[in-house]
Amino acid sequence: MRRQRRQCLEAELEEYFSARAVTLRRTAYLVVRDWHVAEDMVQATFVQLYLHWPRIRQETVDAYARRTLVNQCLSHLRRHRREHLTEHVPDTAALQFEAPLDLTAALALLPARQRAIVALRFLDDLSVAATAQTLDLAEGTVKSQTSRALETLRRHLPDLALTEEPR
Amino acid sequence: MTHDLPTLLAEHVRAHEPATSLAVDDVFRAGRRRRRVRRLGGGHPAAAHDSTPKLVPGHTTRLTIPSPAPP
Repeated sequence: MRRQRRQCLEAELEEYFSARAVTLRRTAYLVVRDWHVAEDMVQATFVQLYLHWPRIRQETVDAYARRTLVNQCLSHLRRHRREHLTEHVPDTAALQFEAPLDLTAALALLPARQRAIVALRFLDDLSVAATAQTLDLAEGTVKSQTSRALETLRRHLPDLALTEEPR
Repeated sequence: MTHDLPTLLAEHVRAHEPATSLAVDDVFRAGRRRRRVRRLGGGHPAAAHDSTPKLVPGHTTRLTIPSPAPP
């Protein structure tokens, strides 16, 4: 009986994994900026889903997965705040604050939570309300953090006129 | 030149995206292990294989230095 239940759970989760793992990995990458770490975060998220699957309602599974993923990413970044892996040691002075950058470097300037908001709103296409719910923030905070994030991106990507679709 | 951010982000992510090594079997294995650890009394899975001696309540942590042998 228990074995049959486990097989059923695993079949359902496998289906969900095939459908969502790649998308979740992209979201995680935007937040942690490293593909390997992003995969670890996605795997940890799916382990949580595995443990709680019978109690998760079908209609909220996406929100649950996204929320777990973002929490995993932010916790990881908090734990590894002082580690900066780099291939090249910079031999120039610190970054010019207003210097034009590419998108990777511009995203790196955003605080982790702002990156998470940008990822959820502009990559996952979530509304302000859904983003607020995912991150357990007030809608006003999501709006203000989005605005700050866009301001930073605009300042460092002068060739691009970033437009924000109102939602 | 106007770019909307969703398109820009999607292109950026796809341009850097390597092949995935995520496997659902790894998830199942880790999940089963976590569940087993929980059933056996909880704790972090890493602790299940941790052989570091633990402090026992009531026992002192002070080292006892043997007195030198009499001449």
